[in-house]
Amino acid sequence: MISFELTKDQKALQKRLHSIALDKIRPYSLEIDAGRPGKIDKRFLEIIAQENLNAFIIPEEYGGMPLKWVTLSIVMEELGFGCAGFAGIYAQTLHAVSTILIGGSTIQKKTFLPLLLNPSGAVASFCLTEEKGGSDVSSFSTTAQLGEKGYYRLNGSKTPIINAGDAEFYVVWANTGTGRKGLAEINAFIIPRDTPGMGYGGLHDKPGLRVAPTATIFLEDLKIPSSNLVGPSGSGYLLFTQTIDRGRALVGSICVGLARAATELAIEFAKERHVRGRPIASNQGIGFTLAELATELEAARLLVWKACRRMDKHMDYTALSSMAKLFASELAVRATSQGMLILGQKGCKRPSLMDKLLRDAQMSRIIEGTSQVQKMIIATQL
Amino acid sequence: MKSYELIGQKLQKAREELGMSQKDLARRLGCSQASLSNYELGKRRLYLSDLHRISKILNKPITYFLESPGENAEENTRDKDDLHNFLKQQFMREIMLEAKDLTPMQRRSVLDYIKWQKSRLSGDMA
Ligand SMILES: Cc1cc2nc3c(=O)[nH]c(=O)nc-3n(C[C@H](O)[C@H](O)[C@H](O)COP(=O)(O)OP(=O)(O)OC[C@H]3O[C@@H](n4cnc5c(N)ncnc54)[C@H](O)[C@@H]3O)c2cc1C
Repeated sequence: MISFELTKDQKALQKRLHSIALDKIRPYSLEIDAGRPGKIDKRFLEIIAQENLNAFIIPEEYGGMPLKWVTLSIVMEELGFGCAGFAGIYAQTLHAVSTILIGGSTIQKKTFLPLLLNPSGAVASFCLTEEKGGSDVSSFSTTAQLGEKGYYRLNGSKTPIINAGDAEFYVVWANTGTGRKGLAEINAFIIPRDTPGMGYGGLHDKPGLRVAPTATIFLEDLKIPSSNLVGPSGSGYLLFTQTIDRGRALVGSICVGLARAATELAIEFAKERHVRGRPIASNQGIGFTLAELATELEAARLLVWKACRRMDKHMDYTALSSMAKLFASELAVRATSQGMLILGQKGCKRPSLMDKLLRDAQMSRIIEGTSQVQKMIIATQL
Repeated sequence: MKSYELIGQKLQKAREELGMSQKDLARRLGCSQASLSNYELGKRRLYLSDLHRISKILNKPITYFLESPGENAEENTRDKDDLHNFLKQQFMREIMLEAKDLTPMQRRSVLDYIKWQKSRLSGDMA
């Protein structure tokens, strides 16, 4: 049976996270967005710990709670409503965890996952993209050579990486062969924080998602035991495609939250702002725009929920997940662009919420694969 | 070629090599024949746990499905062609005909003699 209604527990969770997003995340995020890029703000790590957010992504047997993708999408939407950058920090932790859950050994799960339940707040990092480009990730310059018995030596760099320098552990992709065997040589490794040979480049200054610091990680002759290899040798390609396929729907929820924030702001403003004696919302030109955005928001959320429901039911979700990410991130761009227009000069101030939403929305089209890449994936599934 | 098309083609090849029908493999995997057909066409992504099970049923390592075609198709074909041409030479035919009547021990001695000659040429003597 198809149900579009949330359960009582899900509604309570949504309400709780909505107030965290409004009262805690949003005020800090506006301040951080306006400042210089730095490490993850300590107050955000505290929110992660106090609200036990990482428990939603870590299964019960490792200290978390039952992993349900639809429930997680509700969490993500509210975090995205509060701040897409903060939600991005959380999403990268989810991706690193997801890879370990898909392919990791019981020992790896027991060793690394509980680190994220640290009472001071913790994050993990997902390191796939390299300087040469993120759309084609079928080959890497980063190498991992089997050296002394039972150890790999990793060399190369990854960029741009969210949570670089702040993470408890890093899931890093590297080529373990000569490049001749193609996808069969791609592997993922777990690198604990402060492993000798790991360095971080300067923090990037970027137009949007400024709250989520990004930097380059460098690996210089980094020695890692082969017990930190995730999954059977040669499984790295399958690991990251599945991780990202799942992650895309969740990034879709962040975008729904972001688009909702812009739409609500525009509706509120349009009802209050009077021009020639009446609220601008009563003009068809504005009312229709708001009606379209509200309709598309519902559609985007349903796409996300459908993709997540299929994940919960272990059904194929590749195309739906990409559709959810594509539609929701494009909607975020439309909603913030229309929102800025409706707010007029009030939206053009800095710092202002609409300005931040607009810049964050632009970046949301790029992370987890650009809109073109989503279309390419969907097309192969038709 | 797109990555999942490549994986799908390898899957089809491995299945056919074992003489297994799509229906049989789908039944053993617990999926529909249509899903398996989509995997083979690269229209549906195979995830690690699925490929793990497939690799066990078809008796191939996971890497078999991910290796670039050049690794185990073109190069193997080239190697096979080279060997085929070499065996067709008159000299090789003569050796094979003469060796036909030898006992396994005698054949072993011939092989050892060839290896000894080769090691003399490369100067790599024990
Ligand atoms: C803020 C931010 C944070 C990020 N954090 C992380 C992180 O933590 N970890 C991580 O691994 N990565 C991260 N990334 C990288 C991100 O996943 C990549 O930026 C993304 O995959 C796109 O890759 P690219 O930027 O290198 O673009 P490119 O691959 O260089 O592509 C450039 C343009 O060409 C287009 N294009 C490429 N190929 C085709 C094609 N065949 N047909 C049509 N168009 C095409 C693309 O759509 C894009 O518009 C982050 C990116 C950003 C912006």
